Amino acid sequence: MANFRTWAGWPLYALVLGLLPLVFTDPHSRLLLILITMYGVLALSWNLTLGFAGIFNFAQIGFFGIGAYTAAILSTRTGIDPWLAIPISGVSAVLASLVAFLPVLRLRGIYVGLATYVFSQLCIYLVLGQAGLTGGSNGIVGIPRLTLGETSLRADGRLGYYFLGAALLFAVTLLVRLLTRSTLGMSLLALRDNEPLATSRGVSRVRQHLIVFMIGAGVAGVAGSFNAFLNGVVSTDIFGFGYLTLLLSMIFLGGSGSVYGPVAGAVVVTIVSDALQDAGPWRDIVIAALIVVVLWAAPKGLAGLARQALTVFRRDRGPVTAEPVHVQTSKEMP
Amino acid sequence: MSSLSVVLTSTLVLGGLYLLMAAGLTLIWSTLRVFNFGHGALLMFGAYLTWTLLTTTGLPLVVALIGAVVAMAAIGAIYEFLLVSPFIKRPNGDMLVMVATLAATMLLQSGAQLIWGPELKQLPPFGQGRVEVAGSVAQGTQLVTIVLAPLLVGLLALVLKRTGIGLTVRALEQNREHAQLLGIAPRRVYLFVVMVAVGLATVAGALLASMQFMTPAMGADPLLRAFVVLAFGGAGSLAGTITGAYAIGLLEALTTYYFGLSWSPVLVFLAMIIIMLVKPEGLLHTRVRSA
Repeated sequence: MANFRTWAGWPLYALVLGLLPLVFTDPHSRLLLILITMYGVLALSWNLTLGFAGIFNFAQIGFFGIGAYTAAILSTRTGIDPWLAIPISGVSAVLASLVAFLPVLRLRGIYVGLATYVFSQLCIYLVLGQAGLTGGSNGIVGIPRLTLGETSLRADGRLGYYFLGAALLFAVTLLVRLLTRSTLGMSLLALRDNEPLATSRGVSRVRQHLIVFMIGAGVAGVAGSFNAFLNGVVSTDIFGFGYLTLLLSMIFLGGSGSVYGPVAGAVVVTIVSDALQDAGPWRDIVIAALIVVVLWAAPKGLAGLARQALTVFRRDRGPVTAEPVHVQTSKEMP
Repeated sequence: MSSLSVVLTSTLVLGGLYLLMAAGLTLIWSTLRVFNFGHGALLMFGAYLTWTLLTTTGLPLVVALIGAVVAMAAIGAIYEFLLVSPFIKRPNGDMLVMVATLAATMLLQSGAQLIWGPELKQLPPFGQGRVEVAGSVAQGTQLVTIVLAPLLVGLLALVLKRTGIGLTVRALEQNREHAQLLGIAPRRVYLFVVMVAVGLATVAGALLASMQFMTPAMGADPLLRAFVVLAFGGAGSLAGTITGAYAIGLLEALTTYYFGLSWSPVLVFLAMIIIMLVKPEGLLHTRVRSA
């Protein structure tokens, strides 16, 4: 029965994702739902490196932007089928991740954070420097919309985009769930929590970290191309501080190092951020303050709180039968 | 010869600015063992604060700057209290501090936008002096930067070497546990270090704001360069930082002159990656780098 209990939630998850647009039919809520799926995908992919592998990877926004620019350039300059541009964007983000990974080869901890942060900020200069290709500070406009046969994905309150985003979110959640319980995921946790022991047991740090880095980058690149086709425009804002802090707040509010936490974080932060849309700078102040308060009060985020509540609940009901395997959360890096 | 003189002047100016930034970051790194990702935003806030003091009180620019340095040191103390010390001892504290200081950047940038609005502002030049050496000209704020930055950092080095508080800073730097055994309270030293670092960043901000327009994001570029300086000189050594700052200034002046403004940061970053790959402990430093 354990197997049934493990997987019973997934059809339900798919059902909820499928039914949501029937509950929320007005264009604004639909757009919010689409944004939630996109941010959810991005937060999940970032959490793979930041939370599970414990790599100080701050280049994820760069991969997202590179994916968006790849899709925009391909579909406006080459006339390639937009659907084909989506996987290519993932590939180009993976290639970029190879460059960003170079510092991880020989550095550890916070130094990796420094180098990857500089990498994502420098994407802006690269885009501005290649103005002929990227439109420089004007960005790229007029990106063709995705169509399925004769129907535009924009039709009926962007319903098509929602289902594309929801399918991506479902697939990526499943991917993260499978990955974290695979030998790769186990070895990543081992490396994060005790690197000398893990390497002495034959785990190659560089190899495992490179694999998870590339997977995360590929997903972020696909999310970037989704963003480009959704908005129809791409500008250097995509590498900006706004996205960085928004995503960080999702991951840490939801709980870094938990599989589903970032999705919960994406839901909450997207709604809060939308409610403050008209508040100008106050929106960013609230988001930033949210990060700090969560770090103070609940370092394991919503996932940690839920786990605590569940433990209390179980204790009240009597002896615990099958305590779920805890995903070991952050321990000091050596 | 004019190309050489342009490169020389901008090397000294850029090097001076990066030195003021990187010296503070190095100081924080060597004692607290964290990188302050909010340093650029603090620079920006200091510049705006100088502008406010200048325009509302009508004080001379230098007095306004000193006032801003004092005010920013107080803000730095709050910053340390709220964003660094609560996380530093936690497991995985490095990442928490990094995320908290990134959030602080957002907070300060939006705050500045809220307080000072989007209009363009600039500080007047810090001086009217003009010096010409072998065809290279430096005047006004450039000249002040060239002189003031090494002077202030030299003063810092002297304080670290000669005074009691400097001794405690160096003791903590070398061996935290042993320093505590000797009765040194780390919190007070941390506070001192952060206040000094923020004060130096404020000076850098005011100098920068007198050479270009102020924007809430003005601190991002100097911060990135300061990180490259740390990679180059090896974080945690003041001598390495001084050499690194001028080396990166030179590299940037050269690449800007020959490849243009938008390519220069890319090349500077490439240099940083290569240094990190070849000599992760910094070109000029020998401490093993594992955080």
